[in-house]
Amino acid sequence: MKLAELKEQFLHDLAEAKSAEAREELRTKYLGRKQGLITNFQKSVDMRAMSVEARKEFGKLFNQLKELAENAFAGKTAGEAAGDIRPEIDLTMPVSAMAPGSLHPVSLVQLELEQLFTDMGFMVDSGYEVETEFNNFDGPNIPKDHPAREAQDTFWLTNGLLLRTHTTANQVRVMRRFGAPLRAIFPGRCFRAENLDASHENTFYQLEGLMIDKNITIANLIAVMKTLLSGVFHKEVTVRLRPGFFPFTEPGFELDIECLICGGSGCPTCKRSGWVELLPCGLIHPNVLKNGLIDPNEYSGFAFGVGLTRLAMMKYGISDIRYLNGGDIRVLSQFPAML
Amino acid sequence: MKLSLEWMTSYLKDCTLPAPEALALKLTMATAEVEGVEHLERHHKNVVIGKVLSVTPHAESRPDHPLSIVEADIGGGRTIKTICGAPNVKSGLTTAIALTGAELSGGQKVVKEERHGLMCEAMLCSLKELGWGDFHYGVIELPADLKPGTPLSELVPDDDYLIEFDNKSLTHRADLWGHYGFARELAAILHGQLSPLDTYDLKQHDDLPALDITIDDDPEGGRGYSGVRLENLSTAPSPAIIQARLAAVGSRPINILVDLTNYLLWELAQPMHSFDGRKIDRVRVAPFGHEGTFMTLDDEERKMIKSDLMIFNGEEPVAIAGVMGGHDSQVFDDTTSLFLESANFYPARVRRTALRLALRTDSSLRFEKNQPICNMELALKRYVKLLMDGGQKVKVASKMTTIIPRPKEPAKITLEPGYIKNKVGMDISEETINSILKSLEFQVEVGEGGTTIVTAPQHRTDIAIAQDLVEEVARVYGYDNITPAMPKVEQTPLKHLIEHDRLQIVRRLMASAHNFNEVHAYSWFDDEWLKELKAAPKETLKIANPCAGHLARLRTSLIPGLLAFTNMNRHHTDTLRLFEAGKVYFPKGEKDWQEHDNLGAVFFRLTKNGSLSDLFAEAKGVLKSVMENGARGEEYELVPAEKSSEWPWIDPAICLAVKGKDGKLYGHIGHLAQSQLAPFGKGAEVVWFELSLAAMSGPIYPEVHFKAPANVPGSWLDFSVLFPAGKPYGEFSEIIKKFENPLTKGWQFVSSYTGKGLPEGMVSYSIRYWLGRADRTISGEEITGFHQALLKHLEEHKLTLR
Repeated sequence: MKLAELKEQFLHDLAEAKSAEAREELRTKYLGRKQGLITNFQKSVDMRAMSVEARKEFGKLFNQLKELAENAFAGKTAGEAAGDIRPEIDLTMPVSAMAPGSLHPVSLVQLELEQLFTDMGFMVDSGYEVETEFNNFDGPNIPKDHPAREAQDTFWLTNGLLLRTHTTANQVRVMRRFGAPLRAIFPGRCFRAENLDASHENTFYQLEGLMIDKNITIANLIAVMKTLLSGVFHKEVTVRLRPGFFPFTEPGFELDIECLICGGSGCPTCKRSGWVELLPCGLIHPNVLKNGLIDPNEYSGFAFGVGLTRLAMMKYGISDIRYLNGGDIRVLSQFPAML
Repeated sequence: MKLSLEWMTSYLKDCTLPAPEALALKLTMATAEVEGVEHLERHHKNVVIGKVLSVTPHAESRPDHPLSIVEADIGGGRTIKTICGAPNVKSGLTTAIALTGAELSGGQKVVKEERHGLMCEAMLCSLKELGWGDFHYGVIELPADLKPGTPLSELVPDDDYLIEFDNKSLTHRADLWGHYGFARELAAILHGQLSPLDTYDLKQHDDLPALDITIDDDPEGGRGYSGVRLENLSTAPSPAIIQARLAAVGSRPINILVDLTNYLLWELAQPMHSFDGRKIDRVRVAPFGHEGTFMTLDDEERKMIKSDLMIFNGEEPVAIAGVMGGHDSQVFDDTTSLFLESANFYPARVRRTALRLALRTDSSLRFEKNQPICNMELALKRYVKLLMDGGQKVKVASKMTTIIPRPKEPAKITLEPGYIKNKVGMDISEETINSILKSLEFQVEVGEGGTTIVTAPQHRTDIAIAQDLVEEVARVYGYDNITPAMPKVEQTPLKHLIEHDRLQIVRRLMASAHNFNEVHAYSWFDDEWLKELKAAPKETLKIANPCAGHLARLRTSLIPGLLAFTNMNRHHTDTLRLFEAGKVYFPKGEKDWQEHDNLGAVFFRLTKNGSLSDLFAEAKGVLKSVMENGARGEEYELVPAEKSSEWPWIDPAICLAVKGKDGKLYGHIGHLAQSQLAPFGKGAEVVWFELSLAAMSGPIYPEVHFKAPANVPGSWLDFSVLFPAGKPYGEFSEIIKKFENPLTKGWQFVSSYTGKGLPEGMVSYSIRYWLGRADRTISGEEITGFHQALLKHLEEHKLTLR
């Protein structure tokens, strides 16, 4: 049989085959691996008898016919048309791997911010969760009589130590350990003796950061905060600075961002003000630098803090803070395993 | 705290006021956070001053529900008759009368109508009905000298706005706890003028006898006391504007003697107290001295302790210093003389007493904020002036007497040239800086060598250092007017703390490579849960004031928390992998501690999903991965654990210790015994491991010693070896490890088999040997030689192939 005849015969049969069964039969007849007329046609041809030119020509025509036939059955599976089927494999079977793991939402936000800050040259030192009264209060210039020191706000340990009430507790430690100039962030767990409700936890996460160098200014602080927040929210954010008071800064500020939900026009999220209070910050109080054994006449710096727990809740729309330490797999498994 | 806009702006001159919302925003941006602005609408339409001519009890009047027919003069020769149910209505009373057409608070309209059988066209009004404030105890009582028929609008503005401040943003600013403080801020922000307070010059009476005032020496006690004795007074009503302003900020008007102390509190933030002049001879500021009770003017018995600071009249306590006056010495209706107190107390002392008594008054709240001493005398002088303005024929009966045990000079700060603009990072002119400081009442003088000497006004108790002045200038200059500028600093390689990097690597590894869910448990043990687990950790740090008694001990292991979460989650899943990477805490001596990060992991499943040994092998695999990726190249081995007296699951029968070659303990891996699984329900299996990340010391970035792969093919041989079923696999692998042959490139465990076709009591272990030589292909004879050598080795250990 010649190649041209085979083609003619195929086209004729194809035109006759109306049902799926008939077409399948036809596919096996022409393209079947063992018996297929097209598949095995080359075996019936003595290629050695052909000239190089003829062989090339034959190859071209043969491939065209094969392609034609394959395309004709393309309505079936490509694998079947190619004659390379593994019928025992059902491609629609579900994944066999176990349920994927997850990072805690606070870890996710923390990892993201750590990435952002290390990119800007801030080292990461999460500090200690148990602390001395000095590091938690005296170091950050909190007066002896400050209400924060009292039992209703602070978990005191029986040996006079305490559970840190803020990541600010790490400021003086880091200053003493690394000296100036310094750029560092301290993410980590903090504790306050609070009653639990939807927005209050006795265990929560903060991220504190500071930058100490020669001639650090308020203008510097605004610029760095703006850049960082653009990184956090993946877009340009409008910020405003207004007075805020913290014993460890002077001057101290509250930094607000223009509400990302309404764009500043006012909505329930921003309590109709158009602004969301995001992070307290300020120039580091000279007493704190002194406590950190850094000369405030030579160096100045700024510090800022952000509630990681609060940021995670904002970012993922978590309505109740108690979910975070609740260990419920139905909550946690909603979060990705990789950042 | 809510303050009245009308009140605070009443002190401003030469100043264009922006709309209330815009003004509030300016305060937020320059001074303190405004949380809201609320319109206070006073209902003055068709409300006039009236004088009650007669009061006749109505026939329906009952003691618990008084009802009177009132006739009143409303000016212009007109009188009205109406029904009134207020208990305080009396003949001669000057009050506010709403006539027909008036629309009172709450939508109440005054119309001509019959009430209790009388045709009425007017109504006597309470403060609440006038929209002045939430006070409805009777009709308003006004000074007798007001002319009947005067529209109320002429006495009190129809509109006001209440500005609510976030108290947190005021804690350091004693001066902002009164309206005058905010007026001073507004004058600076809006470039206006601040009117000085009108006062009466009490110094002209310095020739009168001084008062007997003593303050016990105590740096944390009384900081100052000013007093004056006033006579020829009466408890008449305060002027309308004073009542309206007090009502607006939530302070109930009572009579002028009491109201003015409250007025000064809300004006200057200086709390005062008016004692009935008949009850006080001499004053002493001293601690209560013992435990006992004291009746405050709100008729409550208060339990006092030794250290509570008090005001004594001789030996008798008459007031809780800075918190509240006593019942017996308060102003009564028949009071005609006052001993007027304007004092100052150590802030924390007042706070502690107020907190303990749960009696945080407007007074204590202000003293907590460190009020200035300078306001003591100012408040007395202002009080007397307002008293006179209120129509009282005051007789000053003593010298204004002031005791200040430790006088303090106002802060004097020397600014180096350019200091403020260098801290702000903006080129602000000297002139602008000085004018801002002066507008806030700072004194600015030229010092030596181009320096500037700045003296803080006495009312600014928060100013101490040069940085404080940076804030004063920058906030009034406007933070929005500062151009952001990136700092120019030297770039150096970033320092990494290896322990933190390790923690984050392990965290990602557990979640992404091993499908674990990360949890956060509390940092303390739950003793009730430990009891259920039969665990008894010994040495822990302890919280002195825990949330609950059983939540006091800080955790030394992450496993109990993970097991608690496992138990909680088992109701909605049959398989779990939980991990936590977090701190554990240990006491070290009396006053010190040690804390580090641990990794804890728990594998849970119901047995129908597989065998315990599979689960354990899986856990070993995860542990291996953590050690390889977290501890980077540190060699470890799993050896039987030493029995622990704290944790029932650390027991050589069910647990292995993860140990370094040098004997260093990384942690443990094990499973829970049947008896320990009781809390987890039927069919549960739990495998766990816990590793100390602090014990890992390998480098964070892996060190790899690359070996080029052989370019000649190798081959492998599988062997199935019979081994007594009762013995652990570990013994078998020890035997295999001892076999040495030059062809061996490595070996691995493939599978185990028990069942048909094996001799009784035997298990078959399949292992695979990888064979080869680096330089050449190995021959058939060499492979046969290897085979025989291995058989011989097995034979020496009495083992045979299957």
